[in-house]
Parts: sequence; C-alpha cells; structure tokens
Amino acid sequence: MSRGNTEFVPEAQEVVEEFSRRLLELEASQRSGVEEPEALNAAFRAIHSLKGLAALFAAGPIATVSHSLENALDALRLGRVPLNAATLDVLFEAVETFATLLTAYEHETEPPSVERLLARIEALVGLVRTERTATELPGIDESVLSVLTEYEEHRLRENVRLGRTLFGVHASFDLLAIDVGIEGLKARLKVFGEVITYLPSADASADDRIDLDILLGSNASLAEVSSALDGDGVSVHPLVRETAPSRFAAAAVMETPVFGDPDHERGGEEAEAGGSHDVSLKSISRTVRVDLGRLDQLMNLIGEIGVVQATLNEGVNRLRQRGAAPDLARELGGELRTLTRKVALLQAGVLDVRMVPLGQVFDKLARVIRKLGREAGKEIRLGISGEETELDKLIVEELSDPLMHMIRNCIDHGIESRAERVAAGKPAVGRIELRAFQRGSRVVLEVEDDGRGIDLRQIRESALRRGLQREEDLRDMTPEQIIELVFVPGFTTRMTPGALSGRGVGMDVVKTNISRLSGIIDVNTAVGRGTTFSITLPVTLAIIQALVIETAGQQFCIPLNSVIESVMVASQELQTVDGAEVITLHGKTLPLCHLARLFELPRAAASDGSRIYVIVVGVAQHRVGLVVDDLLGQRDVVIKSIGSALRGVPGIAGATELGGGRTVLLLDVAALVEEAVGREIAGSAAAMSSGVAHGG
Amino acid sequence: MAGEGEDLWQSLSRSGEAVATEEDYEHGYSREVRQDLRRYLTFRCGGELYGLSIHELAEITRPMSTTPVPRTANFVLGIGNVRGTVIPIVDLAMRLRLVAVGPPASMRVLIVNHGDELYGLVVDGVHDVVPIPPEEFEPPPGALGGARAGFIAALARQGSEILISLDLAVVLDPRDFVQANAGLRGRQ
Repeated sequence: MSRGNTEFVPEAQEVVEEFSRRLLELEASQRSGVEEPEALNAAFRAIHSLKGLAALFAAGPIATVSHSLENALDALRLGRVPLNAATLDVLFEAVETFATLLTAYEHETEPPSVERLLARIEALVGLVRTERTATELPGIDESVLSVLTEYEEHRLRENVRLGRTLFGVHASFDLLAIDVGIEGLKARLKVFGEVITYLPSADASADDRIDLDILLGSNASLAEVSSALDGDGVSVHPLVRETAPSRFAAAAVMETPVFGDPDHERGGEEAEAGGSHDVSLKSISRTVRVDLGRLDQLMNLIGEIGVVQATLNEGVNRLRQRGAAPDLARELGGELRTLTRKVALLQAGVLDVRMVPLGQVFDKLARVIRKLGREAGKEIRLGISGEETELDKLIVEELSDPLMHMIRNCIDHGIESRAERVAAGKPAVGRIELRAFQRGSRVVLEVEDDGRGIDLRQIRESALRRGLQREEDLRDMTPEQIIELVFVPGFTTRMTPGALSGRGVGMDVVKTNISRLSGIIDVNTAVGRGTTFSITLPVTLAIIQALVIETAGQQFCIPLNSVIESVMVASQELQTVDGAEVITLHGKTLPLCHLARLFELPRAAASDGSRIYVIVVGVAQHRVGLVVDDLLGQRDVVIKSIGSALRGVPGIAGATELGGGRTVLLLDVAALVEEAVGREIAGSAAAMSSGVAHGG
Repeated sequence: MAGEGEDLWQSLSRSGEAVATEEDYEHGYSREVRQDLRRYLTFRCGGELYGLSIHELAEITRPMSTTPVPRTANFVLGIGNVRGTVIPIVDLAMRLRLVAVGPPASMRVLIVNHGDELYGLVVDGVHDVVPIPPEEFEPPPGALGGARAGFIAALARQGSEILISLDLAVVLDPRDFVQANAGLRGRQ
C-alpha cells in the first residue's frame, strides 16, 4: 500500500523538478560567465518550500537534506561559497537523492542513507570563501548599507564589482493600483539590470499613495535609464553620497520592506520557523491531480456514448425512411446533431486534460546529458526547443526511456572526444539538440548531434561480423536499409561494451517502444557532420480516426493518420514485377499487398474481381497499397488493448468497438508495411528473422 | 448441488464455508472450519473433469460472439467483449488437444483472471463447486507424458472420477497464442 497522503509525493516531485530546472539554468549561466541571481534565488525558494512540505508530511530524510541544502544555497546566494562545476555536482546529486528518497517514501521502504550527501553539502558550506576582499563601495552612504540585508548587500557589492552603475529609482504608486504598477515597473527595470532592493519610502506624498525607493544596478547610463523610466510617478537619480541617503535612512525606520521578496529577509536562524509561518492551509495552486486510469475510464465512456449515438442515428434514419411522424424525426435529428457536437467537445476536453508539455521529459534528459557527458569526459552543450509542445501523458511517460537510449548513443557513439573534434576542425564542445514541434495531427521529436555520424562501412562490417546479414545481401542494400540495421536486436559497432551503450541492446528497444506508441523513427546522418533521429508520434493514443474496411467478410480499422489515400483500381491495371503485384499510381510503382492473403483469411470465392480497393499506406519513405474488398467509412474510435497474450500478433495494434456490439481489430500499419517491404526487398531476409520469436 | 449453469454462480456466492445443510449433518458433518480448504469449480471439457480454483474465476457467461484474430494459434477463438473490456477467448478443448463433446446448449465461457488480465475459456459445461483440501491432490504422474502433461497442475479424486486441476500459467502462456511463423518480418 502506498501512503494515504498521496499529495505529498507528486507535489514534492514538482518542486524537485523545478529545482533541477533552475540548476540547469545556473549551470548554463555559470558556463557562459553571466551571473543569474534569479535562478539561484528560485532554486533556493524551491528547496525552502520542499523543506516545509517534507516537515509537514514527516518525511524525515527529505527534510534533513533540504534543510542542509537550503543553508548551502543561502551561502551561495550570499557569495560565501563559489558557484562552480564541483558545487553544481553536489546540487545535482541532491536531485537524484531526492528522487530515490521520494520513491522510498511512497513505497514506505527504508530510505537510502543520505549521510554521504549531507557530508558533501556540509563540506560546501564549510568552503566559505576566505579571500573574500570586501569590494569598496564608494559613494554609497552607510545609512543605505545599514538597511540592506546581507543578501542585498552582497548583490550590491557584486554589481559594483561588475562595474555597474547604481541608481536610485523613486516610484510613487496609487494604493489601489499598486500590484499592477509594481509588476509593470519590475518588468521595465529588468531590462536595464538587477533590482537589488525595494524599500518603502518614508516621505510618501499622500495617504492614498505608496512610495518606493528601488536600488538598481545597471550597465546603462543615467540618461538611458531615466529616459525609459522617468514620468508617471517614477524618477531616477544616480546613487551618490549627496542624494539618496536621507531617503534610505528614513526607510530604515520601517521594519520590513513589505514589497520585497520575503526570502530576501531570511537569515540563517529563522529558517526553522520559516517552514511553518508561511504555510497557509489553503492551497495556492488551482490544479487537480488526476489518476490517468480515471481519464481512461472517461474516455471509454465517451466512446460508448459514441456507439449509442450511432445507434440512435440509425434509428432516426429508419424513422425518417418510414415517413411516420416526420416532425418528430426532424426534431430528433436536430437534437442528435447537437448531441454529436457536444460529445465531440467533451471528447476534445478530456483529451486536452491528458496533454502535458514535453518539457518534463526534456528536463530529465538535460540532467542525463550532463551526467553522461561528464562521465564520458566530453563537454556537450544542449539546445532545447519546443518544450511547450504537448503530448498525451501516457506517450510522454513511455518516451523517456527510448529518448534516454538515443541520448546515450549520441554521447557514446556520436560526439567525438575533444581532441578528435579539434583535429577535425569542429568546435571543441559537442552539441546535442532536442527539438519538438507539431506537424498536423502528429508531433515530431528530433535528437540531433554534431558528432561523427553513422559510418555505413562500419555498420556493414559489424553486421557481417555478428552474422546478422550475409555478405551478398549487404552488397545489394541501399544506404537507408543499411542504417536500419542499427535497429536490429544484437547490433553494435563496439568491439567491447562501452560504459554507456554498446551492449547491443538499445536501438532495437528504442524502435520497439516507439512502434508501440504508433510512432515512426527515421535516421538522417552525414559522416563527420552528425546524426539526426526523428520520431513522429500521434498526439494521443486514446482516440484516433480510423478507416473501416472489409476484406474476406471481416471488418478491420486502419488508423487514418497512416493512410495516404485510397483508390479504386480496375483489375486490368494490375501488373506483376518479379512475381509481385504492383500498380502504377501518380507515375510511380506501388507494391500491392492483399490483406486477406497476409492474414490468411478464408477467401470468399465469389468476390467481384473486376475492381479492387487499394489503400495507400506509408511509413517513413515506404509506400504500400493494401488491397481490401470494401471501404465502409471513417470513424472516431477508442483503442482498446487486446491483452498481453495477443499483443505480440504482428500487424494487429488493438481492437475497438463499433456499433451493435461489434468488436473490430485495428491494424498496425507500421508493422504491415515493414513486413511487406521487408519481403519485397530482401527475400533472403527471412533467413535472418527465423528463430526470432515475437515476444509480447 | 449441481444445478443449472445460471444458478451456479448464485449458489457459489451463497455457499460460504460455515454453511452446512441438514443433509451434511446427517452425513457426519463436523463443524471444523479449515482455512486451507480451497473451493474449486469443476467443469467438463472433452469428456474429462477439470477444476479451477474459484479465486482464479471472475465470471461464468454463455458463449458470446467473438471476432477472429488472424495469425493466432487454432485454439484462439478470437476476442470477445465483456462489458467494454476486450479479452481473448480460448477454446479449451482445442487448447488441451481434446475434442469438444458437450451439447452446444450447455457450453459456457469461464472468465478467468490471470496475471491481472481477463481471459475467456470455452468449456463443455460447468458442473459443481467443491472444496478440496490440499492433501487430496496428487502431483501429475510423470509417466502421463503426452502433449497435455504440462497443463496439469495436480490431480484429485472426485468419487469415481479423476479431477484435473489446470495450470493456468501454462494454458495461457502468451508464447503459444501467436502463430509461430506469423508475419515473418523483414528485419527482425
């Protein structure tokens, strides 16, 4: 049994993910040499709230680690501890530890020991910068410094050290519109530099106004800043001894800067109390967590309503044909149309709830890349785009493992060592790009590296060495077919297993997993320039549009997104090439494949032989014409599993219910095309596949 | 107690361990509740008597329409729909390499739960629910050999007959469901 308070784990997971995201930002900024105090603050806040959460739910080790981590982050914020790769290593290790601690908490198992991590974090804090030379703060009045918190003072010094000019910005807001006013001003200030502090000003001009003194560090000149900000109750002045002091000194009278970030105020001691006094019992987030199973149930129900609706429709049509009660029939017809529209909206709504942004997976992968890159001693820069692209939660979950395998491959086989890269005239730092974008009703995910690319010769040699292919077959294969060999189980180009990949499992698993999601994987490679894997996936698996067909008296559904077109062909247009049936379509030769023969269905003898229906289906660059007896129309169908025992049936992806209690099989087009194409191009390939059982 | 098939399920739910009829007492029923007494549904298939623990049983229904699934073994009748859930339906006689002998009217589908999934087993007719203590089971005789030996978990005597307790893990082994040479894929 898992714990009763199911809210804790997902909420804590979210916080940890946020923390990890901020760490990645920090790492990027640390590498580029630009300071990112906001990211550090956000990381600090995340750990602060994790500590509060953990204390609330009595998750002891998590609270201990986050408490210790909070201190370390605070020291980082204050510049007492330098932010470097070693520091980040410890912080990233904490992310991994949180994950295992949360799993242990959820399953109520013994949590792993955190002593080592705690020691490492403590060591960080102990690493207080000794040579900390206090930057002179010329021209800044003691009275200003006296009201700043330690953190603010640190930021002030940092700004001075970076050679920025300090400005005092005086702003006056209407009491009623202060929220909007401050937000607007913040946004405008951010453009110029860093806001060091907000202090309420003592000399408010009127009772219904609030005045603020803001300390801004910026690279811009006074003229630039004031021309952009002046007016509307805002005035900018350089912060020198002659001006500001009185104001800031006055501000010191007021106890707490109400509008500042409360975290700025936090000292080391009050950390204990901090967890409880901010916690309101009311939850801030307006979101609800839902078990995916419940959504599936809803989806099933909608599918069943659809079936009822179809039956009703038939009834109304019959009523109309009989001509009895025409008014009633018309009225029912109208209502039914409304119902259809509403059901479609309901369906879209539920589907929408299942959608999550891919950013979740990308964040995990960024962590993996960082870790693996360091382990392999390769420096890798990661580019991410399209993280806001949304996919069905189920697909996103199932994607993590295949993507991880692909990334491992990129790092292990793709990206060269630094020396190799420099010798080849490439940038010393390797690059991996993760991209996602929507294309029609599908989502495309790309993993691109700028490594050495896939060498066809090497694949050929490895395939020969491992006895996966015969030499004469290899000679006839096109480059695409050779690249496809990397997806064959047991294939590897490594002589000895590498630390990361190269054990000969991986890419075949990737392909199987992606196919299970009705996805297609394509490889594009150029030797010396890099490799791009693109995965094309349906946006959702729960409901798809399908073409209902009939052959040999049995009905089947074909997912519409793999259907390119369907044509009716006179039988005299059939030709044979090398014993295989083909037709010419749009000037190209299209291999045909009889579904009934493929499935060995008993053929009804007296089928009208003069015309056949050809459904052109495609996977990647392959096109095949499926020959069927009849097209019955297009339907939205809910895909149902046919159970683990039948999951291994090649060419069948699942089942669905059509009206009248009929259960119809859904074809796995990718598998059928692969089968047809495989047979067509390499007759001897069967020898290869013999002995490979189709596991579930 | 062996009644109509429809009543059987009801009688199943009524007959708890502690319930004993007068008739039972006449025959020297002593009220000793044994925790290890497992109840078995007995049914006929190909003229033989089989048993399945009722824990493995979810439901008993009349034969339903099935959709044939290509490329599956001959004992797979296809898929059926049990209140919205699609499940594989197995012809048990065919699976055990027997010949079905029951009159079609008495045929039933046993919906069994195996590995958290439902399967339908078509049998010639259901018979009874009997408690069988574990010590009455004997291991399948090794000499039995034959193709069916693997399906047998244990044997127990029921009067003059031998009851065969089925090993569902073997009967429902997914590796046997798919035709061995189905869809030789080009690159697998």
